[in-house]
Amino acid sequence: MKKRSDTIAAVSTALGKSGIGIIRVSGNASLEVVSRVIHSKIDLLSLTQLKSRKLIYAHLLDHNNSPIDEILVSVMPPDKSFTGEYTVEVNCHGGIAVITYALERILKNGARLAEPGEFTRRAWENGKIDLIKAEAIYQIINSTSLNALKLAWHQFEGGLTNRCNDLRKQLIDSLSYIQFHIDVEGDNESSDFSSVASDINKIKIIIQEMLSCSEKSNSVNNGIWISIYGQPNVGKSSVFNALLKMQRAIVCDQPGTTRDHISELININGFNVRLTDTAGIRETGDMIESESIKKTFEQIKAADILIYVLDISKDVDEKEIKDIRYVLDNDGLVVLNKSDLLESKTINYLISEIDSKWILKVSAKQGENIDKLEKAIEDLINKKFSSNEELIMMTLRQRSELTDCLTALNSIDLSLMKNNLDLLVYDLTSAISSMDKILGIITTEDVLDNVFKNFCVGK
Amino acid sequence: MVRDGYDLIVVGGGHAGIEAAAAGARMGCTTLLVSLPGGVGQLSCNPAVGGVGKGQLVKEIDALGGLMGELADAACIQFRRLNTTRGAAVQSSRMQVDLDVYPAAASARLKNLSGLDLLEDEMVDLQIRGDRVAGIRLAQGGELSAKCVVITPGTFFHGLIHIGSEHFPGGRLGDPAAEQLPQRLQALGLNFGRFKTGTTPRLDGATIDFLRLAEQKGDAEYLPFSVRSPRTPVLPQRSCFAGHTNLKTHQIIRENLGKSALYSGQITGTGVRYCPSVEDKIVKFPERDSHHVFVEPEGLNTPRWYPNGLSNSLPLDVQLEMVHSVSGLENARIVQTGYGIEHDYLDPTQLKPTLETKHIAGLFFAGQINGTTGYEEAAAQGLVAGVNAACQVLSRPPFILDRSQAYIGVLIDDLVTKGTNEPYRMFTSRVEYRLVIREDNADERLTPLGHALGLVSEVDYGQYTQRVAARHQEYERLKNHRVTGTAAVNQQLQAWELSPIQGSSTLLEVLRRPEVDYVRLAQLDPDTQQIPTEVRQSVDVRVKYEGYIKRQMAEVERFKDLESIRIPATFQYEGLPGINNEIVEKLTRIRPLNLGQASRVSGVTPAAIMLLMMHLKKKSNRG
Repeated sequence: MKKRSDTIAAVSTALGKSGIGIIRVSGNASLEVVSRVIHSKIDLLSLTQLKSRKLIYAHLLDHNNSPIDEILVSVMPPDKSFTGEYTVEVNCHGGIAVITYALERILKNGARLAEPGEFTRRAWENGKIDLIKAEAIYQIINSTSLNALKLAWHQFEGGLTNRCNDLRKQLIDSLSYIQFHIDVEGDNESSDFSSVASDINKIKIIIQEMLSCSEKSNSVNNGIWISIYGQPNVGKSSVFNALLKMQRAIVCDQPGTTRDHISELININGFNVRLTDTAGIRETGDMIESESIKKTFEQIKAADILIYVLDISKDVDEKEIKDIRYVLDNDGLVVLNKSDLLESKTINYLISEIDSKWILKVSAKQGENIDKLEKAIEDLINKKFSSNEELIMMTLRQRSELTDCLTALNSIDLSLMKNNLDLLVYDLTSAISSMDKILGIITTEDVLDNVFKNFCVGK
Repeated sequence: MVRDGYDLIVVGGGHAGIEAAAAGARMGCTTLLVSLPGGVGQLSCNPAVGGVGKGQLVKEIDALGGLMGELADAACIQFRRLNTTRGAAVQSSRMQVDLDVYPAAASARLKNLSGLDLLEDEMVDLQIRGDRVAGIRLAQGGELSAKCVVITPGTFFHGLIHIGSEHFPGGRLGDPAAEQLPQRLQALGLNFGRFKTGTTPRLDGATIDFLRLAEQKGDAEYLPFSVRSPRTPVLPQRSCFAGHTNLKTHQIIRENLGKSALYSGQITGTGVRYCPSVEDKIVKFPERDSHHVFVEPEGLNTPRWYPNGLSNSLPLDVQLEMVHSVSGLENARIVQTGYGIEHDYLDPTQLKPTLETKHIAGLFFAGQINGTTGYEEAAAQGLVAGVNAACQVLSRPPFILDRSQAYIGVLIDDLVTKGTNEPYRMFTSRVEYRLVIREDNADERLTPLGHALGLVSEVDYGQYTQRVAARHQEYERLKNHRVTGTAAVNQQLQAWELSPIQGSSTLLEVLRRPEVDYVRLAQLDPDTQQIPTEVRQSVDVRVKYEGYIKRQMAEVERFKDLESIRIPATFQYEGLPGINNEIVEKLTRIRPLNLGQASRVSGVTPAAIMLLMMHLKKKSNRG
């Protein structure tokens, strides 16, 4: 078993050449441990009654007590530190040798290496943060785009916590009302439970919205998935390369060149976008190709946004018209590629029939209108993901508990209210306990391990 | 009559004392019950036993071999089943009881118990040897030695009666308060707080205009609390009557709030939130212009009636004016004034789950003294204290019911783990697993335990096994017998707006329909008519709630996980890494028996429980 009050240490910055590197030390003995490896005018051991944070100029000492680096040491008392314990952070220069040596000295002088996520876990154990906040810290660290960061920050500030607390309170209100009518009023009063029924229905709708909203948020966090598809040899890969601004996919006149789909991450206006080039769709006897086409359909299903590519010079068939309509109905883009060639009659007719700003003429090969295409993608993303409504991001754990909550509420048969309030209470209680789990009010070791295991050492 | 030394002395003849003394004697301990003259089995307040949440307690006491159920049955003048429209798991029984017959029956039962002596006297001091109780000193009878002592003083410790601005010491109207003993106990280091309760004025039935009140008859079907009682009422049955307060009543109370002991600041103790005085109701629910008043008979041979809902601590003249404002009570004569009473209660977190004090070995407390309200709550504690005192004398392991076994378990766990900051009343909603702990299965949950303790006789246990067999047999019958969807059957179903039976269905499938109860089932299947009510009740719930019961049983299993991780009595929380001082202090004070109980101590975080668990596991691995 780990000893919880022992002192832990880890490098909190990325290891490599950098201006500074920070080693975080937390625990009762952190002042003592660090005092053994530094020299400064202020004795660290005199700071045990410190009320606020303090920054100290010092030197890192080697094992012969000679200075080996110039450092700053921040000292934080328990109520002013992240972990809720005495915390000392050693800011040394960011070289690999100096950071490793400083850590080694600290570990030799009474600290042990922290496990992944252990600092955050201690913060939770000491009541400094709730479980959702702990998860939000992980999300902040892992955000790779501004919009993902915004979502994570919203979470950190209590976005989900507040909404769950609010729903939990409403559920408890309904529960209390019913319990009151069981225990205090008994059946002396004929009571009206229609308001409870409508409250429960409202809560169900809110949870449904939260779940569907979190799907969007997860896309923003993990990268918005844009799939390029269309029939073979219409130039999908050329469009893909043009958007990537590099020759990533092999381009060839041969239909069916792209077999395995290719994905690349790009950033569009602060959003991470996972752009995918797929195999062209056609009837084929080729086993591998037909497997690729199967994969393409999976990609189309999973994508957040679809870009459907056509060859402007070819006539369109019924199947393609169907695809075009599908894409336009689902917030997608239609790209008429090879605009350097002559428009076919059917395409010409099509454009006059379907007047949409989401149909664009592009020549990927010549680089024509690629800027317009980028702008259109940006507009689509904004339309779909920059809504004014509050976006809530959820971890898998949070989603699954919220789904359990909804399931419990769905299993309430409101017609039971007539004479089985006890069963209604059972389902309501289950729903509340799911909320408790999201908020970390009830938690098991498994859940916690799962929450904290994803952290890197030093957090 | 009185011998020199006893195994067990029980002090106080109220509902807690009765059960404690009876349990001690029946488990084979030489037992003495000390009470004030005429102090056995008094119904100081409402002439009723049972009610929502409380009926379950009485059934459990009875299933364990306690007396309350039998005594109530013997004195029953009205029986009702409550919450019949709220769900099978929360249905409770309630009886109006005769206030003369009940104590007489209690005295008679106790006199007939071998090994039990009764003495009328007052305990004034406690004898201690080392850290153990050694005996008691009486006001008149000198000193008596005992291995264990159970104290059940009800509201008598420093009791202070309030009627308007008047107040005087008293344990109950007409009885003196106990002053010496509580002081002595305080000096021994026990902590007490102050609670307040109250009772209504009593009215002369001859002066009540019952025609202006709504008659409430008892249920047509009588179901005694006790499996040992006759199946039909012993006494003639009576009705209750419902009336209500009105704007005039409320105005009278509002105008005289300054004269109420409660609102003039004279009473400082905390009152019962869920059994409020009428002043409380008017102040806390200003929007309501009417409250129920149930006028209940106190017995067959007494003119006294109990206007349930008019509890107060107003001066007598205001009480009279208030009563007269209620329609039907215009000319009612008050035969006993309503009053508030303040009394000491012992902070129950000073007790172990056996109700033994942590400070003084062999000293137990039970009943209202532990911060509860209600006869049933008191009796349940009396039984647990008596049984555990006897277990200690007999060197048997303690008897503790957990929260998944019984309402009694919830009651005592709440008291000793969380304490209480207002008079504690039993509610079904305090019970996490109430779908599986119901009135109808109290015997299955507890009678085997009562039998093992020696409280349930062989004859009663034999009848218990037969009852259980009858339920199983009935369930099997439902599973195997079928109803054919004949024209007559389907016509009947149609008349109830239910879908017809295609071909045939088992009785079980038919009964599982929410709209079909046993009465309807009997109309579809004539054989069902012979099934007795007790069997029907029990089987009906099982069939209808089967899915829910299964889920809750799984939760009970999970609950037992933490409950089964024991914490040694000598466990040192101090210096345990990672647990903050506040939690250490609380756990050291409460000394929970297991991790489950520890998790319910207020302020103990899930994180602390996890750390404790790891520590305990590590210890057990080592040892």
